[in-house]
Amino acid sequence: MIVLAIARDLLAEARSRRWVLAFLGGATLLLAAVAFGLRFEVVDGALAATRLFGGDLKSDVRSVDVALRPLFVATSYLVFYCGLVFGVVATADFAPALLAPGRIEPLLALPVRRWQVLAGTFLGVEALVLAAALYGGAGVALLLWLKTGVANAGPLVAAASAAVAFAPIYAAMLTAALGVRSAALSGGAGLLLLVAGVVAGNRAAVAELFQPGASRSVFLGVTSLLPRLSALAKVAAAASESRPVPGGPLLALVAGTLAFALAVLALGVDRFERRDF
Amino acid sequence: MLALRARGLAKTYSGAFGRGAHQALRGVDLDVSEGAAFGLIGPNGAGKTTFVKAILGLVRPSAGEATLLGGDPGDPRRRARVGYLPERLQFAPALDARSVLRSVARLKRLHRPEAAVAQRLDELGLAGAASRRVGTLSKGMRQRLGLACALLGSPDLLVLDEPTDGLDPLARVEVRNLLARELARGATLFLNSHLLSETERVCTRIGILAAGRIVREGALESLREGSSRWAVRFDGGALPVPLAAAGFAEGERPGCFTFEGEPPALNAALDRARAAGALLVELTREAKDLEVVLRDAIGASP
Amino acid sequence: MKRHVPLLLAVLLVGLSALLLSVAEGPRPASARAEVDFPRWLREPEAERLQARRTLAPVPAPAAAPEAEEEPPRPRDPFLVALPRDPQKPLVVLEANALRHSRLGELFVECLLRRPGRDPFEEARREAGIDPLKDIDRVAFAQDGMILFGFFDRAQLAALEAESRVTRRGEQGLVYEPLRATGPAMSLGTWRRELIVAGEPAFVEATLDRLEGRSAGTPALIPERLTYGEAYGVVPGAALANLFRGEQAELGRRIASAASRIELHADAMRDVAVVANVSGADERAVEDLGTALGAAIAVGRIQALAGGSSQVAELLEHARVVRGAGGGFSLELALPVEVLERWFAGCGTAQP
Repeated sequence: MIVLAIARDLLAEARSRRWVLAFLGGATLLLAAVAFGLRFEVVDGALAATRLFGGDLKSDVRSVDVALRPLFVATSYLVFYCGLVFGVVATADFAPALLAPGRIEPLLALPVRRWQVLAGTFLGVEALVLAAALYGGAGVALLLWLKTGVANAGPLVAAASAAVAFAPIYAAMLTAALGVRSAALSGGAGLLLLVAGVVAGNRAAVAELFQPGASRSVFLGVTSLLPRLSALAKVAAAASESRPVPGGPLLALVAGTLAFALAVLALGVDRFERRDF
Repeated sequence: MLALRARGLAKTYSGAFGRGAHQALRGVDLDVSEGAAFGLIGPNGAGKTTFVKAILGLVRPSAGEATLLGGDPGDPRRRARVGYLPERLQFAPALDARSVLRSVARLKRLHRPEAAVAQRLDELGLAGAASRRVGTLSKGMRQRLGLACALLGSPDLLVLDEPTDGLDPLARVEVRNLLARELARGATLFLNSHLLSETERVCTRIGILAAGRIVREGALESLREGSSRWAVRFDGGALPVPLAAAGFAEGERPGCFTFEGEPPALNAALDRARAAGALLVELTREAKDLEVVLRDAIGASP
Repeated sequence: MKRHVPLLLAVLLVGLSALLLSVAEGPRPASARAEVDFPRWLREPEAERLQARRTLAPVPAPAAAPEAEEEPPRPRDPFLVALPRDPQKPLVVLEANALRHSRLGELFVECLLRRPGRDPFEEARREAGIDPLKDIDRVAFAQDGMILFGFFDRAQLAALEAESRVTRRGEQGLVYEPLRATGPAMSLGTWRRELIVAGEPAFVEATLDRLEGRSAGTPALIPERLTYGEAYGVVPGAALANLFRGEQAELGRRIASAASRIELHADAMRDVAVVANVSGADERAVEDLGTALGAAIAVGRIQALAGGSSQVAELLEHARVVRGAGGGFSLELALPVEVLERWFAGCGTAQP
């Protein structure tokens, strides 16, 4: 309950921050503008023409659900990666602000355990990012459904995937902030893990760039410990294309990603417990 | 029962790369009984804030031990009965005052949080500003908000670091009255303040911390005893010049004089005054003020 | 020990995470499937091929023509020279040799050979001395006949000669007309030992005349630049109209009226990919036709899915209409090789 209370306070603070409202307003305006300007001409179930603000976007004439697959795939990648980058940028200063002198001392003097403060902050930020990604993903999915009649869960799956992928990223950001109280460093740690996670998700292909031997082994060894973030993006893309995703590997991927996040958080708890304020 | 207990409490802050270590506390022994109003004073850098943080579990002691309300400072059940106001106070600027108090009330798991919040907002004159963002409040109002947070739930122990910082004189009076009411209901007060006049007015026991050690500690009255200053009043006809020659300094009011010295010297001076025709009407030994006590204690400490 | 619990937990969780993520990764995936390559222009191997086929001596330029000084006439591909040139009639060419070595060809031949009964290829070898799998390089199908090009040195024409009236046509052409005609008049022609033409007598004679330069210089229906793919051809829209029956009959009429020329190209070495470039005099009508075809594909796919015709649905899933820059459009159809192999698994008996 303490953890949830702290998470709730973080969300209340986020809601009060004007720029969060500005982002939501901006995203809504953008969706509305695209909704107004984008027109699909569907003839007998085939996508005949695509127009954006009156300009014809040269498109092939084929079944609308098939024709839109690349669009849904692109949208799911967009929701996924933009959701992650938004999360890093938007939440980089939450932990440093919480740890500010004058704010952290009264909080730790309350009847809360330090790990609860960390867990509550983590959960609150996760909820914020999930809500933002779902807002964007649902908006896009709804927009395309209204325009074409084709329902596609890809953007929503992408939003959920982004929330899972953000868990280890924010755990790293939080732990970094406990080391050095800096929003820039925290954000940098998040972006670094994002890039590392994309590389890890494509490690088999990237390993080919290394000479066979020690360097390739080291690369494969290091990346074997990292979360495969781009693999989560591909799950969303598969959902957009209505391709089946094997349940076992998906569960292992999600569980492994969350286990990594918990590992980093545990490291953060250890750091937090040892630190003087 | 003791509200606070420290035995051999020491804290050394290690510097970067193991160099430049700073010993903030050097073995502090201190007991504060329940219901007491205890003031900790000392010069800058004495270790007062470190001591406060150590007893609240915010800082891990390098040596020694501390108990808070009879238990481990790290135990949330103990901290649930503590109200803390830090010297440096910060809130999330985007939240309003009422939200801040509600958050604290939730974390303290108060029984009737809304009622508690409303009461403290009223008490500290924040009812009219309850919906305003903290970032728009003045320093004084933020200080009141901090006090309100500390007082929420009527804690058994109040640990206040510079509670009247930023408050105007009238507000200070209100805070003193508030603290008096808290003491009257049985709370223990542990006050850390640079304003010695405020400390004297509120606290009944004083501890002086210098260079990480307690150099003097005791009831306020006993600390102020032993003054060598006397207030003397002669009748209206006494002449200042012979009295000055006898060693008396003229006071603020007509006929009032002061004398600095031990009783033998005082008696010799009175003899000289009477020989000059002065008639002694009143003789009072003045108590030391806290500033003098502090100065004497630091001067005497090794 | 209690102080180290979070650290120990972190180590354990990293190990667990690594284990789970390696399970999720699974075995290293096979390389991603290449996209279907549609025949859209003459590619380098095909350009080299057409260079090698220019074995027919050029037509000498008139002495007084000034153009002869700018560009000397070059050798020609006799097969292309022989092809009919009427734009109102369909003409399709199969690169038989290439098709034989394509995946589709392999599957087709295997399927034929698996059937009980006579080996059709052996019959042709025995009776005509022509091995269809080796001797025929290209085959052209026209409205009035067909033309085979290849290596017919071992062709056994004695029996044919005995039953026909053989006349010489030009320097190297021979025409075989049956002595006893049963049914419509049909002739067979040969040119050198490279070309065999069969069909109506006028078609046979015109073919041999074109080879030896005795016909009017009408432009080729299939110029060299269009000889790409394992099959190619030019078909007037009206010729395809009959393929659309029932509910699609109206679409067939629209094709007939709007599409004056449909160029076909098909690749079959691995995936089967067909491109039909449609053009006509009325740009707007052609554009509308493209839209209508796209819609028909979508409807057809939906109907196939609903009716359980998975093969047709699979075929139509890879179909699309691509708008061209000059007012025409291209219809692209593809059948990935995996689908082909699945279809032929039952020896091609699974019909949509």
